[in-house]
Amino acid sequence: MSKFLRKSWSKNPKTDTAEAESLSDRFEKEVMRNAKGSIATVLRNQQPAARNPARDRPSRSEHASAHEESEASGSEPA
Amino acid sequence: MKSLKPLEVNLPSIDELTKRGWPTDAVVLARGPSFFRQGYVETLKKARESGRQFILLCADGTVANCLDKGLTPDIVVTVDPSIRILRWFGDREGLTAKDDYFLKDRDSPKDRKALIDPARTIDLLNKFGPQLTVAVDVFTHEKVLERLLSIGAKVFLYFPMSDDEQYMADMWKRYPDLVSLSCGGNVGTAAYNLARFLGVSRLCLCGFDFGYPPGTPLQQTQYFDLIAKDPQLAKQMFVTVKNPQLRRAWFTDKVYLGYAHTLLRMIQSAASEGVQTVNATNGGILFGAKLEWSNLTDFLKRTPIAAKKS
Repeated sequence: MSKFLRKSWSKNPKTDTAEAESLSDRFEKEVMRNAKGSIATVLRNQQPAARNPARDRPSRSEHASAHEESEASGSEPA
Repeated sequence: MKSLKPLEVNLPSIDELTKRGWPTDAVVLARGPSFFRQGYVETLKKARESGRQFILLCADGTVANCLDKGLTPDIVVTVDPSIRILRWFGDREGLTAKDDYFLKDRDSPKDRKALIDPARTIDLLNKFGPQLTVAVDVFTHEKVLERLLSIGAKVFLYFPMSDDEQYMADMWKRYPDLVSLSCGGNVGTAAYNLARFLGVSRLCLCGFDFGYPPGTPLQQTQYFDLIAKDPQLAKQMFVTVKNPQLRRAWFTDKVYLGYAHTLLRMIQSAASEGVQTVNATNGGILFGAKLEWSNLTDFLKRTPIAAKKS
C-alpha cells in the first residue's frame, strides 16, 4: 500500500476546481474507457435532452415542394 | 477507445413518454450512501398512499429496494454498458456474482443489511416487471435488455448526449427517431435530465451524495482499485468538502467531484428556465447557487393531492 493510502484523506484537502475537472476527465477515460456513450462530456448547450435537429424542421425537399405548390397556386408560402 | 456496439433493436423512444400526462413535480432517487440511511422509500410510499402527485424516477440501483418496500417507480433509468447493471434487475445466471462494486461505500453493517440479495432481487423483478417503465440507453449490455424484456418491462430507448459532433452525427444517422439525453456521466444525472425532458417544474434529489461519509475507509471508495494500481493518482485523488448545509466535511474523489460540478451547472441552467431543484439528500457534497436544501417530507407537502374519486 502506498504511503498516501496509509494517511488520512483529510490531510489532502485539494479543492482546486480546474484541477479537479481535469483529473476527473482523466479518471473517466481510465475507468470508463469502454463507455464512450455514457460518459462523454455532457454540457452541450446545457440541454437536458435533444431531438434529432433534422427531424425538428422541415427537410429541404419538403420545404422546396411546399414552396413550389404555393407558387403554382399564386399564394404566399405559409 | 474501444467503440461500443449499440443495441440493434426496434423499441420506442423516450419521446413516447412525453405523451403521458405527468405531474409537474418529480422526485429522483439515486443510490448514494444516504439512500440507505435516510428512509426516502418509506417517506415516498406514505406520500403516494396519501394521494400526493409526483413522478418518481429511480436510478437502476434503487429499484429493488423500492419494490421490496412496496413502492413502484414511474420510470427506472439505466445508463451503463457494463454487465454489472444486470444485478439491479435480477441476475439469474450469476454473471455478476464476483463483482463487488455494489458493496463499495456500503461499509456499515446497517447499510449492508439494507442491500437486497440477488435471489430476492430476481423474485421482485419477476413479480413487478410488467409494472415497470425503464429508460434504457442504446449502449446497455444486451443481457440487461434481454432481462428487462423477459420480465415484461416497458422499455424506452435513448442515446447519451456528447459534445463530440461526429458522435452525435453518427448517432442521429443511426437512430433518427431517438432522443439524446444528457447523462452527466452517471445515472442519477441522466434521471434528472429525463425529468426535465418530461417538463417538470419542481425537482427533488434524494441519494445524490457524490461523496463518502466521513470515516469511510479508502478501500470502500469506488475507484480504489485504480488508486491501488497508480499511487501517483492517489496523491491527488481525494478532496474534502465542508458542506455548509450539513456543517460537516464529507470527502469525495475527483470523479464524483466532476459529476457534482456538472450537475450543479445543469441545475443552474434549469433555474434560468424556471425549474426549481431541491436537494433532499441530507448528505454529500452537492450544494451551490440555485440549489435549495430541504428535506423530502417538506418537498412532498408542496406537491398537489389527487382529487378523491366519488
